[in-house]
Amino acid sequence: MQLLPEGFNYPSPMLVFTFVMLSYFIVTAGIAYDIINEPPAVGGVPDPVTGRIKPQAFMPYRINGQYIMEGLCGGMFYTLGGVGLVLLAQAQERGRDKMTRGLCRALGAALSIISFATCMSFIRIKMPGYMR
Amino acid sequence: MSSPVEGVAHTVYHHESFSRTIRKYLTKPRSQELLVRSVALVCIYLLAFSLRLFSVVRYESVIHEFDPYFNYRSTIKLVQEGVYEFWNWFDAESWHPLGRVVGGTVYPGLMLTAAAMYRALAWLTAWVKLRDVCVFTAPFFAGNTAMVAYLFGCQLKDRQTGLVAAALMAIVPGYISRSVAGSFDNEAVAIFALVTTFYLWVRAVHLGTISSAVLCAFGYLYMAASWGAYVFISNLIPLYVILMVAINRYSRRLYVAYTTLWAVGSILAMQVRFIGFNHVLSTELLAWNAVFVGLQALELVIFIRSKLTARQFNQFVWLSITGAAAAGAGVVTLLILTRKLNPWTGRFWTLLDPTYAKKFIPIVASVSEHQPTTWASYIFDLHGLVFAAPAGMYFCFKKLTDENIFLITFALTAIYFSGIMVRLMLVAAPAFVLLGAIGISGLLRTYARDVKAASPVATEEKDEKDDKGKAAKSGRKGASSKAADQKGPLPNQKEFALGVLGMITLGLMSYSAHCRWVTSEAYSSPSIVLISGYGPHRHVLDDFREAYYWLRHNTKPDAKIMSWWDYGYQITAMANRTIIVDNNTWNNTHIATVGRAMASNETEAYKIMRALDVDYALVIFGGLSGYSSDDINKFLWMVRIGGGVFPVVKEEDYLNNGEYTVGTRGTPTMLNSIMYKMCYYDFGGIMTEHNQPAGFDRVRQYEIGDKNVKLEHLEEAFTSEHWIVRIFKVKDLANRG
Repeated sequence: MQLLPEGFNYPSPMLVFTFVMLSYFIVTAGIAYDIINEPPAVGGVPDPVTGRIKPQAFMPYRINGQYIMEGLCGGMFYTLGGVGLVLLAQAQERGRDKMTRGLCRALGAALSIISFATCMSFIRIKMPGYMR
Repeated sequence: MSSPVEGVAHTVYHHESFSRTIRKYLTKPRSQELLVRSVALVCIYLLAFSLRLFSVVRYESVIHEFDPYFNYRSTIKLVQEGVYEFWNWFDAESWHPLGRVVGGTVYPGLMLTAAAMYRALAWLTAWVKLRDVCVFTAPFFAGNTAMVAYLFGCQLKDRQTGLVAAALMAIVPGYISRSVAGSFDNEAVAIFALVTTFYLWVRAVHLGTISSAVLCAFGYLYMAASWGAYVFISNLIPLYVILMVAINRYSRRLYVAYTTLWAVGSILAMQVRFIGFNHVLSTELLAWNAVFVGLQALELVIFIRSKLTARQFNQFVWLSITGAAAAGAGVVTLLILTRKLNPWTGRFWTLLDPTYAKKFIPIVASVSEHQPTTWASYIFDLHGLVFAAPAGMYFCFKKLTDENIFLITFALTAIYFSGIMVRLMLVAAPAFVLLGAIGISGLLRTYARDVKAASPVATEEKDEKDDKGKAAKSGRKGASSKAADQKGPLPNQKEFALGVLGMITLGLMSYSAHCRWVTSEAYSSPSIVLISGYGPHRHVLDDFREAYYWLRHNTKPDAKIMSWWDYGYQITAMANRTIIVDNNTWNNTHIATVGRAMASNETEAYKIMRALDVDYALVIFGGLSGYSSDDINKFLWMVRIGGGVFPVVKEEDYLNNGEYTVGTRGTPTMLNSIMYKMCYYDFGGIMTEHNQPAGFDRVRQYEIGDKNVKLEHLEEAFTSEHWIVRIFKVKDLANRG
């Protein structure tokens, strides 16, 4: 049923999907934790030999704590992995020319595999007891 | 053989053998598909049930955590004394001397479900202990949730999506965390109710009949009876209705579904004593009621538009909009000013403003489940679904239907709330599962089609012919071969498709391995019993139950126990004694009084304990065993909560230069508080580790400050085997003269 005046252009679904992906990145990066707990951007751990502080990217041994940079990295790889799977789906749509589809295939496969492997290695760095 | 004489025809039946019938059905594709699907669903149900049994297999069938003990005690009361006694229960054994109106402040869904299952089993003469029924309620309902996820997937897309959704839902760690065997908490049945209500709502919008909407209302009743997060449903469905109107997808089916759901659902939900008239008066449900009124107004406007001319209609619209807005604002303001409209509770304010709890309500901020989520929680609780969910979202956006839009709304709100509070990852898990199922199923379908293609050459010729045909229609002969070349299939189509299918299979195998590991290591600890190590090196610390049963057998029946609110439910359930504060945390001042008593020196604390009639004080101490969730680590929260009500308790008095320490640098206020004295009484002479001096605290990892603790008004009554629970008797007043 036509309830709004004509000439009102709805944003296209794909534009809304792009905004959804942006907000997905921000939320899964742990932005609420950053705002409330205000952790440092990277942590530091003293070097046992020299005594100077080495930068530490991941807050170890705790799932419920993070530094800002590690949160942003994690969120970015979640989003990139999702985008990779979306590209793999787009590679199968008809009506696109070969170059686009070939690019979608290659980029999609690369992004999804690399994101998954990276997130697994991040979790292993953060929680040394993972899968043991 | 037919007998022509009587004219009655006897048909001759060919008696087929059993094996021939089976073979006849098994060769038909339809029955093959049915068989595969049924076997898959049965296996998924069994998987969902059995994966949650780690703690039962490893230790024993015991109820975990804190809140489930209260639910267990309520279920015992319900089964022993009947529904009327439970519905009108006033509990004088908790919150001494205030008591607690349990009948009006509890969500009865879980207790009624467990009692019903116990009675049903007893009627079938299967005599299962009530405790075992309670322990296995959660895995049973987890299997049911997986089945409902199958139906939901079928409704959203097709049967393949349903099967993937059921399989993913059965083992997703975000849901397992609150539904292992022994976790007898509201979420065990509430997540089942949530998914069922959403499925029934989507079905009601799809069908647009009154009966489907009434069924959805009954699902909503079950959710409202089970968990306080029913307001999530009552705000999400109106949000969905508003969204559908805004994007021009309003239809009569939506109107019928929502109106019926509002009418029947409100009346049903108001039967729960805890909700009562809140359902129409509370601001938490303002959207629910306002959208109902708005929908009726919308239908009125549509009706009038069909009767008026265009110009008259425009005038009418402007008049009614301004009038309605003014009237609505006036009514709401009047209700808020006369305090008939209850404001939002603190717990839900935190969802909109995450910093609210930290500034204003320390009790809400102190619960570890209310902390915000980090990035690692997502991959830990959802694994591969964080990648599959955007793909599912893409498929939903590509082909928008009424059902998909509901899933998108649900998923976006759930993901946002899960970012604010770790506990709400539980609500986001079904959303991720459904989106992931759509994504995975969509990808599998498109790539499996490539693999199933007859042969690469044949498809190439077929595609070329199609493209040539299209080009011929448009009349551009010169460009036809180029167009065909551009849109033809890519090289190695089948191999790439096989590769993608293999990648998805490996991903799903990794998902299931992760879920099994996470369930086994992280989410199966009974927490009432501390288990570490495997096989011959297994250590079991059963101090909690040892202490509670000591209380049960060695104190007078009307003894009052003072402890921090975390342990209240366990003490009333297992020790069967009256307590001062418990996990319900409904009275902040009472909790602050206990916090002030724990933080004061012995003279002040003795006055407070005499005023509250306390006979025994109980503390949890981890310094000897290494148990880190003890009262010394929680002490600062006691100070903050006590200081929030009694300004005489100041947090700075307990910190040395901003550092919280019980060591040699501890402040005198800290070292004189009865919390310190009770925890470290007699501890100064104990050798806890080889190369450390006596009185070395194994959790804080330093020596304690005051090793010579003297108590005047308290005396040690009981210390458990590993010093985890310490109970002190409050001495009577001294004799005069």
